[in-house]
Amino acid sequence: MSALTTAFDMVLSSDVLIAMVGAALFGLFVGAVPGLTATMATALLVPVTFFLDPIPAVAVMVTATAMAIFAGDIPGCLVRIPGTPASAAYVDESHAMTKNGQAHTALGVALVCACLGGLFGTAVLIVAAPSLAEVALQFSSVEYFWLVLLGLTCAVFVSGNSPLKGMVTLLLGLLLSGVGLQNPAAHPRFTFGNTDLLGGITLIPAMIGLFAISEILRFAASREDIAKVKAQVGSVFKGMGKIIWRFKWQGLRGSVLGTAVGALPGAGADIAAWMSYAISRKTSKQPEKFGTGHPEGLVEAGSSNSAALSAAWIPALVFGIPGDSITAIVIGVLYMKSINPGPMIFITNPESIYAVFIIFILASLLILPLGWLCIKAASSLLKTPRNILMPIILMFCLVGAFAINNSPFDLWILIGFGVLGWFLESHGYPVAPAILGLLLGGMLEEHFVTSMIKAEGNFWMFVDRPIAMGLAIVTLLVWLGSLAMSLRRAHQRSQPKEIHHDPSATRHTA
Amino acid sequence: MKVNDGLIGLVLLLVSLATLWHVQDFPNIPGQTYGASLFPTVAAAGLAICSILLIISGLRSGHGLIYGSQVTPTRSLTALFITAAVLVGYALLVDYLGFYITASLALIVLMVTYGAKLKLAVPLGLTVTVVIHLAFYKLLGVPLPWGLLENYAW
Repeated sequence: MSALTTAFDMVLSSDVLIAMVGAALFGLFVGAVPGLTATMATALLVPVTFFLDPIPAVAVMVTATAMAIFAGDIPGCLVRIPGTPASAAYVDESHAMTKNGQAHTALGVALVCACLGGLFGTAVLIVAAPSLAEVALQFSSVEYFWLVLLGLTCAVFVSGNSPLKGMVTLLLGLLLSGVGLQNPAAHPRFTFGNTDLLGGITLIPAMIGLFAISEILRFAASREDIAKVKAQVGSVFKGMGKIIWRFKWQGLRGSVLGTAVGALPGAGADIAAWMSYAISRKTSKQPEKFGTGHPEGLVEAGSSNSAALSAAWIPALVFGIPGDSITAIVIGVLYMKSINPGPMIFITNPESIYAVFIIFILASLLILPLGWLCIKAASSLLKTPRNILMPIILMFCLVGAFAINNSPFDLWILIGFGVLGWFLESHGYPVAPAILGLLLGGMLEEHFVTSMIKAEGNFWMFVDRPIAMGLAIVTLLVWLGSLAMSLRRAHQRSQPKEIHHDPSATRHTA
Repeated sequence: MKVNDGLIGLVLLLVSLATLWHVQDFPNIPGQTYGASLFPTVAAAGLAICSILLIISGLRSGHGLIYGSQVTPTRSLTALFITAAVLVGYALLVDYLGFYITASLALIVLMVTYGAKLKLAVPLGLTVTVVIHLAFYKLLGVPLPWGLLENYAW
């Protein structure tokens, strides 16, 4: 119990709480301004977290992202532009409610479901992570090899509508992860005599580039204007209990699916929301009402994306494998603070893990009061001139990337990955597999080579232990299943009818 | 404006073949028959296969090498190029000119490019530069370069 008390002491100190409230306001702002994503919020927070202790650093990132995912619903509802990709699934629905004069109901549902979904995901995190960690303690390099491979496989097949494109970005990420001295033979790979590259590609500047610079480039290339808010927003909590109770099973199902999708590597809040909204519509007793301003899908998808956010931390904390692009950045930050996520932290540092749990609960609860304030301030928030904001964000990225190592070379990594991320995304190539490949490539290679040495080249050793065998079979099944599906899709596509709208063709960075 | 998947595939194919060729002289782990080249070989071989599939799908799509250019107005293209130029220019010049000059120029140029009025962009750009400098240089101790203003460092 003493670890839990220590954890409470760690979180309930004034500096952590102040940091959380500050981060919450920042997250709400980033989420509510279209074009700024929750992942970008995390990326922009990195230079700040660099100068914080580990617990406030984690608190800041958890709070900001939880707020941003909710706040993304606000412009979606009021002006039909999703604030973050995680809200894109149901903008039409919530905007239809606004047109029916029910903006307060739509925002109320979004607010309450974000809180409930977040709490559900956190509950699963609290229950699942420690028990998974116990199992993971017995893992050898073979199990880790399969686990990383399974994670990367999921990232390819879940993160977009084109597994081929996902595979391409994954392999690019894996190749780039090979740069530097960090390899079994300690040979300087792909450095071309450049000493800055000996340590490998610095992750944080690469991620700030992929998730923030790419958004700025996209803004520069499109620059759509935001419509004026016309809707009047009444009392958001009025009648909420009745709606949530009426759709309690949908909310629960959304939370469960969101948790599952979030825990899968490579897929995060945005994919969870698309899937939940689609399921809600398919199984609803009144599917004809969907799209006309019906709260059912909002309840399900709104709970789903918030649950996914917390659940993404399960593989991140237990195995060091990120569940989405946000936790990919978080893991990068943790490594910088020489905290290596993995089952050992649960034993050596249980109070930090408990502290993370408490932070999650607090952040989910904070959504209610602060989110309410954000709704009140929405129309002025949406007036934020983005032509001023985007250059400032760009400057923060440049200074932040430099601040990590005080290295001018990191600026080039930032710019290179920024342009790469923008190019990939604008051509329908998902970025999440690339970042997972970059982050996990070293781990995959290390475990593979260690296992090979242990097995003395005998490949059967890779499936010798029961868990390893199980993971290998699941990995294989995901491959075969996805191949079969894409073959079937290719077959259907060769039929004359070719009009189909695939929402997952849109961008995938929550 | 989009680049045909086939062209992307062709570039990636060349990259992966060059990688395959380049990694063959990487040393092995002592006492083993594999080493630093194994992992990049597998990844590059995979990438080569994927790029061939991309080339096939690009050829089948029936698009030109670069298509959809009429959709992107030149105003946006200019903004895109200026943004990229500002990024590269910052990285090249910040050591020589120093943070104050480079950052305020970058901010003002971008704000004006994105449609802000000059009389708003200049004071805002200067203020933001000072604020960022205070936050990162003074508060967080990041050694942002002074460059030409070295003698006026404070």
